[in-house]
Amino acid sequence: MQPSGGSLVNVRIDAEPLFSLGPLTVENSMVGAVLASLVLLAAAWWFVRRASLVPTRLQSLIEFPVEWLSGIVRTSGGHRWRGFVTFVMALFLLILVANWLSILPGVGTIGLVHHASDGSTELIPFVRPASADLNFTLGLAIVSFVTFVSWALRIHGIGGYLKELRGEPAYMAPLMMPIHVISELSRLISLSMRLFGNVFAGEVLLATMLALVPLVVPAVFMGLELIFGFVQALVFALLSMTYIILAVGTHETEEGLPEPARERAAAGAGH
Amino acid sequence: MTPEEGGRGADETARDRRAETTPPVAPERGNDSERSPANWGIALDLGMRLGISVILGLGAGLLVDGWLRTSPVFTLLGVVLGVAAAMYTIWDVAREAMRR
Repeated sequence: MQPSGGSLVNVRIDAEPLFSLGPLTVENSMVGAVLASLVLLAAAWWFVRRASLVPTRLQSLIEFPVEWLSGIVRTSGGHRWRGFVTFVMALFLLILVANWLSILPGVGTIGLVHHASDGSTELIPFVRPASADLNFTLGLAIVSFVTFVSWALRIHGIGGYLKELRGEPAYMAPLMMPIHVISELSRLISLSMRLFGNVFAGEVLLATMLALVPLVVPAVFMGLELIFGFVQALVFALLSMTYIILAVGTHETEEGLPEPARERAAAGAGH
Repeated sequence: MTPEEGGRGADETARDRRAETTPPVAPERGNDSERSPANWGIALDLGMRLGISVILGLGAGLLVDGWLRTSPVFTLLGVVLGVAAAMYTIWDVAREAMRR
């Protein structure tokens, strides 16, 4: 439903509340996140029930991104890649589906009309793409941050991780510790802001184009949004993987070196 | 020297000659790890992390100054630490890239 005399351009940076369930206020970006999860669950349910050794076209369509991304993780992730390949895959698929939801008709354009006290009307969409809400992207970035820190703790122990944060030599700790902490936190903020910024900017661009030229032109930008959505999901997942690899591999022994480095070390030993 | 040994010797000589004439970095450029899209991600991430490091340092400095009423001591200190963290980030990424 579009407000009479109102604008289709909905550029609110925060997600709009729809209704309350006790103390929980349900916002339209939460609906987007739940929808994305449901799509993934349905795909997984279908895949588990119908998977065959000779894949059908639909099965190939689902298998393709999974095999492709696991190939990347396998070649880049060193010998511990099996430990985090599912995490990277889950991040990629969730963000991809959440981003691509914005292309569906009705997402961001069908909603409730809200009449403000100053007489203006505002459209509150029922569904907003989850990645266009900083809470969602920050949440994912925190999950990613906790994962790579926990990998570092698991491999090096608390002492090793603190030693890494403190830096060498020990007397430089008052200088190096804040630098390391800022550097670590910059990963968290960079991950969340990049995804949010790109998806939100895409939403604003699409809404503006729809309002300016309702025919043909928005289709071009929707095509671009498909590409950007894919690239941003890939960048987020691969950066999370890279951070885990860095956390794991900083002080690996020779047996624990990532595979390419081990091959190089073996080649070096042969000369 | 048997023909097999002669052949192996020739192979080794040819390999040594190749190793001498080829720059040390060249063979590593083609491996899967370095062609990986993960490296593109690191490059895309680096620029953003530089800016964020400085903003984080500045923000922390402003907060502490507002709290202790010592402006602009901690703001300046925060900016210096933020810039240092940005430079450290570049060094860290370059070091890891060379290690891999």
